[in-house]
Parts: sequence; C-alpha cells; structure tokens
Amino acid sequence: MMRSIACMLLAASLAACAPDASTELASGKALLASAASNAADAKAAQAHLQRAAEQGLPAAAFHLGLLYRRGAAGLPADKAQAVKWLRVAAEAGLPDAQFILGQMLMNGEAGAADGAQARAWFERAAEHEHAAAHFELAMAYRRGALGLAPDEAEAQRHLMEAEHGLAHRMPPP
Amino acid sequence: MRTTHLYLALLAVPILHGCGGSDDTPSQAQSVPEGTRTTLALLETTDLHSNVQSYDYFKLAEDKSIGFERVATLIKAARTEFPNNVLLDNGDTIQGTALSDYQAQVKPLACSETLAIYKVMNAIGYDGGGIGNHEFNYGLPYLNQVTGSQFKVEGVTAAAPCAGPAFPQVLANVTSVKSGAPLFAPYRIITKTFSAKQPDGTTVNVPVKIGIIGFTPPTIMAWDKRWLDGKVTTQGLVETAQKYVPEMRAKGADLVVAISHGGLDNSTYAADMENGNWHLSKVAGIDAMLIGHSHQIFPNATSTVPQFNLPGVDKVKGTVNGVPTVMANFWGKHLGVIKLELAYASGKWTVDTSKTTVEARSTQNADKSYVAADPSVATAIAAEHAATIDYVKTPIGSTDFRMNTYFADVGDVSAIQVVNQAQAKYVADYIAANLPQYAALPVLSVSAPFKSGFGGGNDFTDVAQGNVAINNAADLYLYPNTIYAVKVKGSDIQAWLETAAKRFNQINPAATADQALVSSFPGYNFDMFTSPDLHYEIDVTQAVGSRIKNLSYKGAAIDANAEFIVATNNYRASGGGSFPGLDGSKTIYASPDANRDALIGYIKAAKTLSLAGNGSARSWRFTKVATAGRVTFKSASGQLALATAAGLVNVSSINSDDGSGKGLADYAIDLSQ
Repeated sequence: MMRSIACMLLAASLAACAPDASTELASGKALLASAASNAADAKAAQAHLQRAAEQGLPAAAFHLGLLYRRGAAGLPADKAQAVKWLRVAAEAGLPDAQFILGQMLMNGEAGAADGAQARAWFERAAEHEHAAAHFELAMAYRRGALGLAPDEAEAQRHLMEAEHGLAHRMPPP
Repeated sequence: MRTTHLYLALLAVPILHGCGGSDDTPSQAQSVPEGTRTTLALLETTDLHSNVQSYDYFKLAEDKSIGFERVATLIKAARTEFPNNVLLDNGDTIQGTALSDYQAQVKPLACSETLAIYKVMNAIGYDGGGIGNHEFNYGLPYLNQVTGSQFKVEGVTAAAPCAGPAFPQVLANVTSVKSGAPLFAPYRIITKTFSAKQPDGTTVNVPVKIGIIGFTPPTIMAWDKRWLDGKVTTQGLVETAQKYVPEMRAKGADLVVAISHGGLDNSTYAADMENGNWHLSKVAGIDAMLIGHSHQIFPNATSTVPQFNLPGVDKVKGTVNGVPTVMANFWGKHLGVIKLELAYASGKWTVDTSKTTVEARSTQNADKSYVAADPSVATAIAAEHAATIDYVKTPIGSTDFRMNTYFADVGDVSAIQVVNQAQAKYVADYIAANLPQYAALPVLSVSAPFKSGFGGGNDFTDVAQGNVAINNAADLYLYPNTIYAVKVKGSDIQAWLETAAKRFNQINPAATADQALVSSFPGYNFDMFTSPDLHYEIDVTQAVGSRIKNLSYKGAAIDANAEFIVATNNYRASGGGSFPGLDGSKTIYASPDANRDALIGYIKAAKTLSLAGNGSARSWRFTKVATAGRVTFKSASGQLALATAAGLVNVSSINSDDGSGKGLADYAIDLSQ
C-alpha cells in the first residue's frame, strides 16, 4: 500500500514502480492456462506479455506470438500479430520461436507460404539442436520439400541430429 | 651427425620418463639450440558416440558415412604426413548406438573388460581425451568403471580401477561435492618426442610438453540431473581456465590445448553457458582449441551456421579470436587437423602463428565415395559387434498377425495400434506415479503411418507374423522421437483430426473420372487414434476443416470441453505439422524416453501380440458415399490379400504395377461400403 501511494505521488518515478520484465513475463505466463476460457485473464496475459516483450524479453515475445496464433477468450487469433512477435523472438535467437515461425511460413498461415524462409528458420533452430526442426528438415530433404532437392543422406543426417538433440533439450522458454 | 647423437644421448632418459605423461618431468629445453624448429599436428576426433564400425544397428546395414573405422584411416594418413602428432578425442565417446546400450545396459561390461570404443582408441594410440556431456548418460558408477577411474564421489564405491582407456582423460570444470576436487584430472602435461630441425639443418629429437585441459558443458547438471544432482557441481569455462592454465604453464607446458566439448556463443558470458568457447578463447595462454558437441564442421568457409559467423571467428582460417580451433563434425565423419610450427627461442617454444593451418578432413572423397575402413578396427571388436547384432535380432515377443502399413491410409491399423497402446500405457503409468493432478483424465494416444509408400513399394512397415525383434520395433516406429503427453479438450481433438484428414483430397461424388484419394500431405502427419473408446468418420467429400463427423467418446458425442491426455511425440507436441493449439503450451510431460523404446518395453511385457488385441481397433472409417467414378490410391504391388485380412472388403486392385517403376500399384476403394 505504501509503495503504491508513493508511486501515485511521484509521477516521475512511475516507470521505476512498474514490475520488471521478468515479473511481467511470469505474470503473463501464469494466466495463459485460463486465457482460453476467461476473457479478463486473456487480456491481462496479453498486456503482461506485451510489456515484457517490449522491454526486450524474447520469451515474452514468443508467448505473445503463440497467444495471438491460438487466440483466446475475447481475443480472436491474429496471425499477422503472431508472426510479428514470433519473429521478434526468433530474431533474438529463441529456437522454439524459430521453429513455430517456420511452421507458420511453411503453411502460409499469415499470407502466402514461403518454403525458403521457413527452411531458413528451421535451419537456425536446428543450429541450436532443436530436435523438431531437425526432423522437419529431414522430412524436407526426404521429400524434396521447402525448395530442397531430395537428398536421403541429408535426411539421415538430420534424423541423427534430431535424435542427438533430444538427448539434451533446453527447458521451454 | 656427431652433434645429433650427443643431443639424442642427452635426451634419452627424460624422454622415456615422459612417455607416461608425467606432470612434473623437468624441462629439457636447455638442451635445444636457439632457432630449432619443429612442426606438429594436433589431431581431433569428436562426438564419436560409440560408432566404432560403419554400421546402423537398427537397419542392420552398413553405413559408410560414419564410424571410427574410417576416421582411423584418416588418422593413419595424417600420422604419415605429420610424424609429430598428438591424437586427442573431444568426448561424447561412450554413448549413442545399440552397441553402447548393449555394453552399458543389456550385458553390462565386466570390470576387466575395456569398452569397445576405448579398445579401438587404445589400439590406435590416443594421447589424451576430454569428457563430453553424453559421458554422463549412464550414470557416475558406469563412467567411473569404463574410464578406469577412481571417483571420490557419492554413489561410487572405492575400488581398484577397472579396465579403461590407456590414455589420460581430462576434465577441469566438474567437481565432486564429496571431495571438493575435480572428478577427473583437470589437466595433464604430456611429454612428446618430436623430430626437429636445428639451425644447421640437422635433425634432432626434442621433448615438447603438451598441456591438455578438458571442459564439458555446465548444462550437464540439467541434462543428467538424475545422475548428477547433489553429487557433482560444474564451473564456468573461463574462470576454470584462468585458474589452471597459468598452473600448467608454471609446470612447464610448452603448449596448452583446450579440449572443450562445446561450440561457440558470443552472448554475455555466464558460468553455466552451454557453448562457452568463444569466451574461453580469450583466456591468455591457450594455444589451440579442439571443440565439439554441436556436430558441425569448423573451419568451413561456406558455413552459414551462426556460431561460425560471429565477430572474431575466422571460418576460413579456423581461428576464434586468433586461437586456432577445430571441430570435427560427429560419428567419425571428420578428423580435425591443426598444424603448428614451433620455434625455439629464448629458452622456450613459441608457436610461429604465420605457419598455423587448421582443417577438418572428411572421410568422404570428392567423388562422394568414402575412404576405406581400417580393417583392424572391425577385427578388434568383432565379438562386441556380433553380440550387439544378436541383441538387436533377439525376439522381444511375437505376433500372431502381419503388422503392416500397406493399407493404413484406408483404415488398416495393424502396425499402428500397438504403437498407440505402448504410448498410452507409458503415459498412463507416468501420470499414475508422478502427476496425480491428471489421474482422473482419460489417456488416449495418436500415431501415424510413418512408412506409407512415399519412397515406393518398399517404403511400408511390414513385420511378419512370428517373432518380433528390436529391429522390427524400429520398423514399427521409424523415427527417433520421444514421447510427449499433451492435455487437450474434446474440441482440440476434433481440430487435431481435421488437420490429420488433410491426408485426403476432396472427392467429388458426381465425378465419373478416377479421383486420387491421397493428397501430398505427409503420412507422418496422418495421426490417428486406435481406441475402442473413440470413434470418428472422415468425410472426404467435404473441404479441409469440415471432414470429421460423429466424433464420439465411450458411445456419446464428445464433449468439446472435456479434458483428455493424448500421448504423442516431441515433434507433434512442439508444433510440428501445425496442428491447431499444439505449440508446446499443452505439453504436460516431455519424456526423455523414445517412443520406440516404449514400444519395445510394451512388446516385451505383452510377450504375444494378437490381431484381436493389438491390431484391429479401428477408431475411424470413411463416411459412406456413393461415387460415380473410382476413388483410387497407391500401395505396394500384390498386397490386396492384406487389405482383405484387415477387413477392408471395399478395397480392390486396379493393376499390379502403376508404371512408376517404384514397386507401386493402383488400388480402388468403394466408399459406399
């Protein structure tokens, strides 16, 4: 109470009173489970994640992107916003974001499908030993998809890498 | 000549003493004249992962692209080229194949026996090795045994050392909680005898003291928590190197080589970072880095991988912040070679950096063929190799029906139901033991026909009636996925199936021409349930997104809000295939265990699989519709009887060869039946 009164009195220090980005991220993530059925929680989750993302937390941009992709109660899915925020997280180097962004581009979820860009993101995620990204690349090499010529040796290599990557997964963002 | 002999005589005793790799051999540097030069090569293998032979144990077939037996040929060639050489392994050595599982878990190695991979490394003569993260996969007592160590760590009983590598192993950044000391020797100083050229042109043998120090990713504490928690701690690469490298120099190391299992990452340094070698390179006194873990090739001028395109990283020359660095790919595909030229001046050896070269040599030739295998390698482990093949072929159970995917696209579940049963049981057991909050929810499972003819008539799962062995389990579950469990609602299951039903083209009932049933949507994304509790129809006359009809659970229309646990794989749960809502957020359990291993466990426990119990629970069928023309699909030639055996009486054969030359034939399905 004292803290909030002080904040109200000292408008100039409002920024300092705002929760830090990691607190915003934690608050946003905590509301994600109920966001599907509770519009207030969905809105709050979105606000928390957006503030954290704007403060530069890639994990927040990732979860915000997923929230826009899935949609939630009172929050219709917005694939363009999803791509925007997933791209922020992907460019910051988050393999899970790179993989999901690749999926969206591969499937043309927000515009025309772009196999070459999708592949580039899968390759970046695979570089971080993202097993599902390696699997996607393996299937693309096997089937000659995503602009690749069929190459069974490369498919096998990526399957080996997928198996290897699964042995040391990083915790989800 | 006379001078040379004199030097040789002077050096003979300390050289012999130095062969054991003693840390305290007094330097003989004073015997070497100023201006003497010597060239040496550091040779690196990394991430061998127990691939001794060029062999895939699940396919029971040769794979020339991998295996120590081929990189051994490169080692021998490099030794001819560089008689002064130091052969070092970067780790991730003892785990990764059916051979390693066999030796660790199936028929555990006796204390007197040397692990197959170490056996062949001993035979070729390594000078030293590091420890990777995968060395910890089988636990500390096993690592203690197979490395011939005497760990002073909780859980390891003090005993005489077992058989192990005949070369020193170093690891500086893993410490025993019990003893407070590093688990392995943090570093060793190996005295090598190299031929050198004196200023007068004569050749002389000189001792060169090579200091090796090892690092592993501190992230092992998360990856192998169950084995390591409370028993060991890890330290950051930079502070560990800052502590030991000066000590190594003080003890007379002429060269310091970091054997660091990890890649490059220039983000802000942290003691627990996985790939700390970009920062490690900046620690004073390190002359070369042998790196690994990322399964990449460095140097590689054409590499687009981010870690080799960082500031300070020269991917052409093979340097990181000026330090010569090599990463030799994985599974014995490459040999790393760092050539260093040393000049003797002012009483010490100094690297003439203008002469340094770094390369990663491939076992694959320019014409795509592979170098020949070194025959002595296969000979050395013939018994272990044969035993592993026997293990892979050992029956784990039997089946009273032929399990196949020839007609999985049109409803045969003979090769899919057992996978779903194994996954569901695995997840249900885990929930019962560990996740009481989900104990009331039904556990379902999905799987897909991974082998569904894309590659031709041989690209189908086909396990004969009779004994089922481990390699058959690899046919039933082709990919190296791990089991994941997701919590979803009834509406999510509907959406999941709508996506899976993209497997089919939209059929126009009025069209009189032949219509192909199966689309280009991959078979590995054609997820299906095979549960007596769950039923649904796929109406292929409808557009994508409106095809799943009459979805019921336990006889009643599924409740869109009811919650279910669905067992699947990491690819699907993480968002692979873009199934609605599956983006990692619904995962309640990311198991470390492979779907294939759960299947093997299930078959072992069941002992006998029956068509009635394990191969005929169809959860789905096509919605009945009369079509004016034929609805066609492809499968392997001559297999119609299997469709009939599966009860698919509406399938007929159009021809025995579709003309593609791939062993495929055309079939028709009468959707009105």
